[in-house]
Amino acid sequence: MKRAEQILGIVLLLFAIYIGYESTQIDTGGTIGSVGAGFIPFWMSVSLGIISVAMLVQSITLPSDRFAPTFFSEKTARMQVLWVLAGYLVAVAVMKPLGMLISLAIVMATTMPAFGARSWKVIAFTAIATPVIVYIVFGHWLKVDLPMGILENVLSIY
Amino acid sequence: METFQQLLMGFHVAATPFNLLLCFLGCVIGTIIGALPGIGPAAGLSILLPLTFGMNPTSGMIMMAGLYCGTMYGGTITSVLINVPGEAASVMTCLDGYQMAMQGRAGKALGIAAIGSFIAGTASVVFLMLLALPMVKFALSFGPPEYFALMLMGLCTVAGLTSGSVLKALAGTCLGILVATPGMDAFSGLPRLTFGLTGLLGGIDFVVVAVGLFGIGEVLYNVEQSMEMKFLIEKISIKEVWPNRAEWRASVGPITRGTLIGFLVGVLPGAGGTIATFLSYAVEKRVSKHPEQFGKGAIEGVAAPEAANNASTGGAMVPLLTLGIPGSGTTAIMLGALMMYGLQPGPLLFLKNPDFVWGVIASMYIGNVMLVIMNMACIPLFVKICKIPNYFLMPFVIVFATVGVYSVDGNIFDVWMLYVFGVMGYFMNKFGMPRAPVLLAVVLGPMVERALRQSLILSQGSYDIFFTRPISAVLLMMGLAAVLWPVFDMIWQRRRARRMAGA
Repeated sequence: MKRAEQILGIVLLLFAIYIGYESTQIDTGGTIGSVGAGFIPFWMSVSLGIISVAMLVQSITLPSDRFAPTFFSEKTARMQVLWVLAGYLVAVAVMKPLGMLISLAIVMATTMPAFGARSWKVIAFTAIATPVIVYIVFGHWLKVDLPMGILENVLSIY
Repeated sequence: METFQQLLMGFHVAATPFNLLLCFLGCVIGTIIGALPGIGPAAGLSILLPLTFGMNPTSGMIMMAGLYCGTMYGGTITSVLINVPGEAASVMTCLDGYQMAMQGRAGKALGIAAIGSFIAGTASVVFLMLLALPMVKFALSFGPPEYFALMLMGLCTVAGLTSGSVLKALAGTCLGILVATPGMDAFSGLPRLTFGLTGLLGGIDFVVVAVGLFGIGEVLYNVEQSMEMKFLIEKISIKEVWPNRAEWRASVGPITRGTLIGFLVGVLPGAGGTIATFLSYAVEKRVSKHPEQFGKGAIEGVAAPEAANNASTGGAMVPLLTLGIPGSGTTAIMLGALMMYGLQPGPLLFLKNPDFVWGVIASMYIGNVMLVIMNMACIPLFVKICKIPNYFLMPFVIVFATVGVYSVDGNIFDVWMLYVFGVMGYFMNKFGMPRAPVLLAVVLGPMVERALRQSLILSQGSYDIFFTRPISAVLLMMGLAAVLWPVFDMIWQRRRARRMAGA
């Protein structure tokens, strides 16, 4: 965890440097009576940079026993988190071409096993039923213009 | 008299069948969310927020206020029955509540918690009502420098008083303000920090940040936690819930003190319900004639923290409604919602939209009545709901969050941003970085910037304007004190430890 804290400090510092640089490309100066559009981002990135350096120093100087021993409690926990993240990433990526309903079915099908669902019948049923409920509640009742993707011609919202 | 008339008008607004239904729904959903470990009030509120956008502002806010109060009631159920707090403010209830349940007094623990919550919740709404108009009159004299100082103080206090590392909380505040900056600059019309992405031209919606950090982030964090719910008792009759005379006598003082502590702490930005419960528990233990019974099933140990966490809701609404300054992640979401409804938060809200403000205040009275009835009579039902397996609940949260965020603007770019903030929320949780300062900064960031720039236009670029006006100078000093408080506290603790070691 000590190493993870050090990485966090470095990532925040790099982010602060990058945003600070980007802010200088806008308008950081303060003419009389006003400050430019880059003023707040610049000074916030400076503040974040200082804080991240302090965090980095703290994570280097403090003894290891002041931190949790590991970042992930178990290897399986890490795999489950990655699995949910990957499933959700795929679902977001296919949302436009395949439509939200198929995308949500992917979310359900990939996330449920990570939370301990073992019966494939239950998973399949829920993965199909959920988009149907979303279609009825959001598409029909609440009139949300859901992206339908390949189902555009099969299911109409209005 | 003026307050009473306004309150009557509020009841007239809140007591329509539709608003009563929404208040009831908010209370039920809030109680369930509060009872479910893993979904906090901020997460619940953020996930359900998009649903309220189709409603009129008063109805939407009534539902959210009901939900907010409901989460405070609901957290007790799992604290008492399975020793797992439904949300952070219920941690102290576990200490004695679970012990009472082990001794076969679960009903009494839940009963006194519900009654204490009702008394404290109702009293805090009375305090809110009494404090609101004087606060509004005072705040009407504020100009941009005072607002800048007030908001800066709010951000500093949240960072300084939050639990955990102050450095991380301050980093979160800076990150939050940075998250609020992309888009078109309101003063110059220049695009900034859009990185060539057209989706960022309109800025990052606070709903995306709130749902990502608290909703998706929480789900990802829960993947690692195995939460097996083993309830001690599943059937409790109403007879078992009602306290006897001795229990009443033991609980009156703790409820009164908890109410006062909860309300006062709730008004402070950043402190919130959790600190209020810790403080009230510590006070009760100190004033008790039998402190050795605390932690072993003392009813005072349940009554005081439960009263405190419910009283904090009324307290937290004071700065939100009168000054337009939220004090916690949950009230930041409510403030964001106000702005999305097209209302201008701040003292003028009381003058321009009295029906809205008093409608919400009246609905908090009604909500507390609904909640005490529900929590006395429907505990077995909530226990059953708490048993919904996580493999149904958590994926549904992702689905609801995704559709909800998409439905705000009908933009898939927002769903991508939701993913990004979900991952960020997960890592913040892992690193013990508080998320409330980020959300608060996202909401307050544009307001702070506007107030700063307006002040500098007024002063022709001189920063003296913040220090020569007494109110803004005092507020800035308070903000500085809040940030430095943990440093002083650490020095004091070290000196004390050295003194103890020397003795």
